Amino acid sequence: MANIGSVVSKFYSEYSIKTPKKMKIIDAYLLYILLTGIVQFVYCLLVGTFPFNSFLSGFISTVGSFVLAVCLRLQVNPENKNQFQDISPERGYADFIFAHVVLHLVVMNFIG
Amino acid sequence: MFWYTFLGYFLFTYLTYGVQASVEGYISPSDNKKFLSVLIKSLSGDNVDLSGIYNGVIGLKLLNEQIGSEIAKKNCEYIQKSFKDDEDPEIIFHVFTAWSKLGCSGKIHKEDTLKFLRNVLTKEKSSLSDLRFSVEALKAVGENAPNPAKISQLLQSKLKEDDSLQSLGHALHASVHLGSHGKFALDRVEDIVVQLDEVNGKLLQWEGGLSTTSLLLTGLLNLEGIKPLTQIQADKIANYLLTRKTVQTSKGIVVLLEAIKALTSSSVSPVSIGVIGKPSVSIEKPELKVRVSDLLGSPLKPVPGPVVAVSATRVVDDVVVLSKKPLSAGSGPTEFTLPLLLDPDHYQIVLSAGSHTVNLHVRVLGPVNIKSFEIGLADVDGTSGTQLTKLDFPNKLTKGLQADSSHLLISKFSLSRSVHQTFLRLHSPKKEIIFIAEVDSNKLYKIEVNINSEFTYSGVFDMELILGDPVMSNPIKWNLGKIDINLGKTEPELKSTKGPKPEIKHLFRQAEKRPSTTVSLLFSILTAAPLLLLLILWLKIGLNFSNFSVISLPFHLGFGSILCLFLCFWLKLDMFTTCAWLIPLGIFTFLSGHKVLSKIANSKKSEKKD
Amino acid sequence: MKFPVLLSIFCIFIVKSTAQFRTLVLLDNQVIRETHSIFFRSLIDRGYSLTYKVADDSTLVLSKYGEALYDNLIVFAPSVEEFGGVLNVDTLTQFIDDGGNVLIAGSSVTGDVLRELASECGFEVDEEGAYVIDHLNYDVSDEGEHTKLVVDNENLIDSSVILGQPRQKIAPLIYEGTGLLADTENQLVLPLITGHSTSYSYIPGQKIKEYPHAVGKDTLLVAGLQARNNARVIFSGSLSFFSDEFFTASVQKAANGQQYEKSGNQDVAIALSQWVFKEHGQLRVKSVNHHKAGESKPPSEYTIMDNAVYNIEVEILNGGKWEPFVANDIQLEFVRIDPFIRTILKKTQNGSYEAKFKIPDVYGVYQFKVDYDRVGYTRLYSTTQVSVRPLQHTQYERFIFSAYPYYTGGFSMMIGVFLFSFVFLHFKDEDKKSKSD
Repeated sequence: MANIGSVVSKFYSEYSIKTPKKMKIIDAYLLYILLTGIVQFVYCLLVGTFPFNSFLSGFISTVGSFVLAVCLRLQVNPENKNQFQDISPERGYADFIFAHVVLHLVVMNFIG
Repeated sequence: MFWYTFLGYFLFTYLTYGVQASVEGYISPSDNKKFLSVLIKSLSGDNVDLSGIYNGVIGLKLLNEQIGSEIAKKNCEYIQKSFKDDEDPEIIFHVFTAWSKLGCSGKIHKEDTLKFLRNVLTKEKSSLSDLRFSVEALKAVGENAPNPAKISQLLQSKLKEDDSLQSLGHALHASVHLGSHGKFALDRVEDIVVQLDEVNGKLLQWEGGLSTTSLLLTGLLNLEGIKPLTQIQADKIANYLLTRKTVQTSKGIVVLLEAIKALTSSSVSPVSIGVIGKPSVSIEKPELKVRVSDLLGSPLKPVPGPVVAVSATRVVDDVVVLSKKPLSAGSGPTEFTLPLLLDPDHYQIVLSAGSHTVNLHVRVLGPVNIKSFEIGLADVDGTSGTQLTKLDFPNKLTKGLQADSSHLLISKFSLSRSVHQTFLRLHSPKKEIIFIAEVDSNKLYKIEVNINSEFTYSGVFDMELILGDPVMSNPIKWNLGKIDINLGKTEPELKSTKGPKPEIKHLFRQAEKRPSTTVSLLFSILTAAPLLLLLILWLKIGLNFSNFSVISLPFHLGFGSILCLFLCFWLKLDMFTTCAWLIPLGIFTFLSGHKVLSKIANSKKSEKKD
Repeated sequence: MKFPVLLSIFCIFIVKSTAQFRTLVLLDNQVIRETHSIFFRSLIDRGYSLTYKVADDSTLVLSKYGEALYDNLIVFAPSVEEFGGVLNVDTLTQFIDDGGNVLIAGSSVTGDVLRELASECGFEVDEEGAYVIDHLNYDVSDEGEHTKLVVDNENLIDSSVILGQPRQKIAPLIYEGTGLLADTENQLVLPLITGHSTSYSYIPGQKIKEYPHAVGKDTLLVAGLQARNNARVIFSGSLSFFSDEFFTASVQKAANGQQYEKSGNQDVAIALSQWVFKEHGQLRVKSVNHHKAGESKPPSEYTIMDNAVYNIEVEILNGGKWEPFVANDIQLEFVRIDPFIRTILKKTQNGSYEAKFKIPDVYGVYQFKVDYDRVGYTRLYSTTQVSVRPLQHTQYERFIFSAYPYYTGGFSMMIGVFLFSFVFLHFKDEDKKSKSD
């Protein structure tokens, strides 16, 4: 028990010092998406899948946004610069925006 | 060879002349009553016409009925009014005859009419019936036929063209009035008689039905000096005529009565021997009443001979129970009685009156008594003994029988005489089942019903014994009591296939239960809440907009407008419109975004260089 | 010019309107024509054209060049052994299959060919010489074998369409003839006149050794059949039932019965002839109409859960004219393979019936089916096919309240990404150098 507590507090202090602010912004964004998705999932468990298409689109919207944000974080993270030599962070951002346009078009179509 | 033919001829004549089967029916008073009502209608009904009046008058005269003076006067007036020197000799004949028979005052015939009739009798074109009726019409007013030779010649030439039965009939009638010139008709007699049709071996008639038969019969019997028909033929024609007693029209009645009258007045008048009332006697009243008369019910002249019951034979075993018993006279000249003091059974009685004989099937009726009767149940496998209850007619079982699949229903009874119908009927409101009894050599009747094999469903039945026989004067339908059959399964309700079928209402699929609005609202707020959290976190992390530049505004605008477009798409647009709008907005956003990002990239590069 | 045309049209009209009255009458001999004159006259008075022929006449034909010469057939020839001309059991059953109506009368001497014909129609005739005997219900004029029976009106089929009047009003009947038996499972056979419970069919005089052919109420005296093509056949075990003698006779049961002046034979015989030759009880559909509630014309297809209205007009032939038919048990079925909905049609006007219902939520190809089959009436069958489609994707519910969280989620994502795009683009990160300090 004490181990887990010390691991968590170490992790938290390392995170707040080492992580660049830009990343933290993305992380906050990720947390927000996660919570939104969890709430929708819990709601579905509670009341059933009645408008199944609405549930799916709402949930996929959160999942898709989460995935795209994670991808952006990977691409923009300065520590991963070596892995993404051909793709600049700006390019990553542009892809991110484009993918979101497609995602939200699909979600709006499917949400009913 | 010669002997055999002689023997055959002798037997033939013996059989046909010795045993002369005669006619059984006759024109009874009730028949006469029916005829009378129809004939009266033709004299006073709504549809009176000249021929109808003729038929009514002649018919009533044949029935020996008086025509009331009122009716006569009315009809005379009608004839006076309607007779307009019709060109049809038949109508003229009818009118003349009716006039004289009704006793109307005055003369109906004018000289012109007579001239016309005489004219008809000279013309080549006149038909046979015209010729005949003209002759008879003239006769009806007392005039002789002019030039009988010429008429005879006309008739014969007409017959050469057309010798159908109708024509021959008219010719016969006409020939009687022509004196010696009518002798040609005698040549035609054999030809006519040969054309008689036999039906069912018992009837003889000429083709064309009642009117043709009557026409020819009266015509033949009018001829003098010959005997056109044999007794057997006369009897068979009489049988045919008697089947036509139900004729409904006045014309039909008249021709029928004329034919019968002609037969009875002829030398071959059929002798009608029949039973008065029903051909059965009972033990209480054993007298069999027999009528010996002519076809009209009058006594025969000459009296045919003593009426004798030649033999009475029991049908079932051909035992002769009576022979050569003369009948005693009854209450009228045509009635004779024969007491039949015999056991109840069927008998064949041969009666003779002179040379006329008739075979009668007579029954002697008597009551049947149930000497003993028992009914009850027994076990199929014969374990416990049979429990039969004695019953006396007409009592019922005090307690109903209780039967199940292991039982037999048994009934034993004996009767004073054997009987044709011995049934046991079990019935409930829905069905009935009937069993027949078997009789053994000791005349004991037994019915045995295996409940299991005869019945499939349980039910309560009433039991009935039905006894009947043609010579049983007291048919019995005896309610014996109830039987309750228990087989475990009750009969399912029979659904009638013809009738309205049950209604079907479609059960729509229930919509899934939805959460209440508060829950949905709550969760909507919960879903929106993380947005707030995001803003708080970002503020905590610390935001700055150092890289902000005006050039990035179009990009954000463009992106925002795309998202707004999507909102509009959800609210009311369709995909096509949305995509159409998306293209310009997307291009704009792409270009402005590209500009912004390249600026940022360049600024980063220049920073690095520094 | 006009007159011949009009005349020919008039003639065609006359021919067409008397088309159902051409009747061939087959007799044993011509005497029957006279002994049954009242019956034949009643037919002639109603417009039938009767052609009398002897049953073994060699020129008998029922159809020529494929067209039927007669609409109806009367066979008053009980003892016929073989029909003449082209007539035999096969051609007669073909005649019935083609819609012709047949009235047959047998007697105790029914010939084999009639027996065969009867079994084709579902009736079994008892053997030669058999009569229906009833020792408790015979007429006073019975000769002694108890074969001349008095049949009460409760033994008649309970149908005023067939009898022309309620059966309680009919006087008792006189019957003398053989007994018929019909399979009780056969739904097309109608027991028009049955025997009493005490009657049985057997050869009089012969001891009963085996179970009689027909016993009790199962003994059919006059049996009828309405085939699936609505052709009607009546088989009477007694020719004398139709005779003038029986029509005009008075009836009284020998076992102390009430006397009736006139038997009910004439009334029943005429009513039966009206039924068997389709003057009575013939139905037809005048028009069928269906549409959505609120419209007037049928749509090309229905959608599930639409409100549909179905309307049908039915007519019955009465006295030669078609009149509106009134009943309160005509049902409508809405059938795909099994009926989904069965409802009673309500009367709107005379002869017009309507049903309103909601189309089921299962899509498919359906039929509006009206199948009216009642005793004494021809089978009325009308079917209209319609297709029912599922909801278009635009016909579903939108903006469902219980989906609000999902809508909120989706929009929240859109708002989030917009804000993020703004924030992320313009955020300037601190230098690494400063961090490492």
